[in-house]
Formats: sequence, structure tokens, C-alpha cells
Amino acid sequence: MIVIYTMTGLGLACSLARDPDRTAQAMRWAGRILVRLLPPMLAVVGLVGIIVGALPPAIVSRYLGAEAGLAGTMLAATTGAIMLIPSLVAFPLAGSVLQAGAGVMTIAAFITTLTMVGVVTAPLEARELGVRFTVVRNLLAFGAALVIALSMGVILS
Amino acid sequence: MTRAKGAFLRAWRPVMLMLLVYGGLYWWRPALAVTAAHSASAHLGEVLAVLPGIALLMGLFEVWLPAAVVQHHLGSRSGLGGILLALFLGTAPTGPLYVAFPVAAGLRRKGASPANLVIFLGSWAAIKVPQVMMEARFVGPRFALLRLGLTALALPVMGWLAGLLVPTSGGEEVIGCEGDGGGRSGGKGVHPRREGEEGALPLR
Repeated sequence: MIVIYTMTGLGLACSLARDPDRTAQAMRWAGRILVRLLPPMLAVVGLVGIIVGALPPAIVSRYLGAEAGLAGTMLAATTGAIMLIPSLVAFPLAGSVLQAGAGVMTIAAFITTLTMVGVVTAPLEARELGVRFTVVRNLLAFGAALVIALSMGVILS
Repeated sequence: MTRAKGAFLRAWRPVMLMLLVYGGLYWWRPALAVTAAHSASAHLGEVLAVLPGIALLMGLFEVWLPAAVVQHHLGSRSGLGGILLALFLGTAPTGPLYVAFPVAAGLRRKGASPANLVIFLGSWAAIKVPQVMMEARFVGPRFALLRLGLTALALPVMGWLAGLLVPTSGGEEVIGCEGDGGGRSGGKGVHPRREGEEGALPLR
């Protein structure tokens, strides 16, 4: 966050110095972006709340810790793809899943899809970047998650 | 004006739906609704903390960053440099992945290739320095670093495959024709040239 605001601050300062008109233009653009993005973001945030509320860490870790091996990995990957939780919550969750006895592969798959694949955010992604891009990226990420998980299982055992 | 108003309302439909869901949830399981609202507001704080900065940055990019520069460094011919740059760019910002989508869209409008965008998004999602430190705390440094390394290796491969599967079009046509209809507000077609068109009325 600091990085972003530092960069933004510097950029804004330089921009103002070089060309105030263009700067105003930039700010108008930024305002439009904010307005355009606010509704979908709010909707997603609302969804996040429900997901976090409905699936407390205890349940998830028991659920994921139960299965092991390939089935568990696939299950974890799918769960991660669908779930949408902030990273602040995600890592403690991963930690507790680990403690519940889940294997390395399960957690790796879970974390990777959790962060990189977003079934819930797909509509927003499709709107910004196109349906094809969205589908391709998410599928690739899912595949990558499996590969990464398998590799980690091999390397760490 | 009516068209813009209609579009504006349509954009807020998902939010209103969400409010209804929360309302219904409160009626059905109040405790759950409260927990959900709690988590949602926490996450909202996280998003709102980052969003203005990103919007401003995007505004500055849009106005100052020439398409030629983006194309040169992140376009389909940028090769290894593009890959590394995309990786690097993704690691700096914080915030959930879906905040990155508009940024990526802006870059794509200026000529970044889908391949590099996949890398950028993946990097934003899974390789963030502060995030990695937190991850190490909960799952152990060995796990975290290994995952980081493997992901960093996987991303260029993903990018390469994406480059094969997603056509790099001329730049502007990318946004607008694809994607679902639902909730597209009037400001969606943000084109640099149609600058003065606040209400989406092409009267100028």
C-alpha cells in the first residue's frame, strides 16, 4: 500500500508540475474509474463477507484436512477457486488446515487457486478483460495450481 | 440523460441484490448476517484503502503513458524483458486480485499483450512480498518460498500458453464487444478520445 501511494504521490507531483491541465484530466479519469468500479467491488466485498461468515476456518480446515492425496488436492483446488477470501484471512486459514493434518499438496493447491483463480470474480474480469481472456487465465491458473501442488508434494516429501 | 440513468441504475443492481441477500440472511440467521457484515466491512476497508490510489495511478497512466511505451515493454514482442517486467509490476501493489483487473484492462488498451497480462495478474495474486512474509508465518518459510518459486516459474509458462490462446487484437477493440452484458454502466467504454462524454451522450 505504501508503494502504491508513494508512486501515486510522486506521479501526481510530477504531473502537476509538468502540465496541470493534463493532471486535471487524469484526475477526472480516475474519478470516472472509481465510479465505474465501485458497484462491482461492493458486490464482491459483500460476497466475501458472506463466504467468510458462512465458512468459518474450523469447518474448512476439517473439510480439507480429511481428504488426502490426489482427491484432496483436487478438492482443495476447486474449493480455492470458488472461495473468495482476503489474504489476511486466507493464510491463517491455510495454517489451520495444515494443522488439521492436510497434506502439503492440498494446501498448495488451495492457496494457489484461492489467490489466482476466481470463479466469483469472473464476471468482473470478463467485463474488464474479455470472456476469452478470463476463461483462459482461470483455467491456466487452475492447471498451474495442480502442477505446483504436485511438484511441492514431490519436493517436500 | 435517460439512457445514462438507466445504465447507472443497472450498474448498481448487483449491490442492491447483495443488500437484499444480507437482509434475507439477517431474517433467517441473524448471527450469520452480523458476522458476514463484519467481515465484509473489514474487507471493504482493505479495498477502499487501495482503490483511490490505484484509480489515481491509472488516471495518470492513461493520460501520460504513451501506448508506444507500453507496447514496446509489455507488448507481444517484448520477450523476456516483458515477462520480467510483468512479474515485477505485479508484486508491488497490494489488494485483492479483482482490483487488478481494471489496471490490466488499462494496460491492455495501451497495447500490453495478454501473455504478459496473465503474468502480471498472477504475480499480483500470488507473489506479493508482504503477503509472502505473512504466509511464511503460518505455513512455514520453506513452504512459502517453495510455493513462491514454483509459482514464479509457472507464470511465464502460463503467459506463453495464454499468448497462444488469446489473440492480441489491435488494442482498442478489445474491450466492449466481449463479456457479459450485466450491469455495464455508461462509463464503460472509457476511451481517451471521447473524453468529454460524461453522460454517455455523443452530442459533442
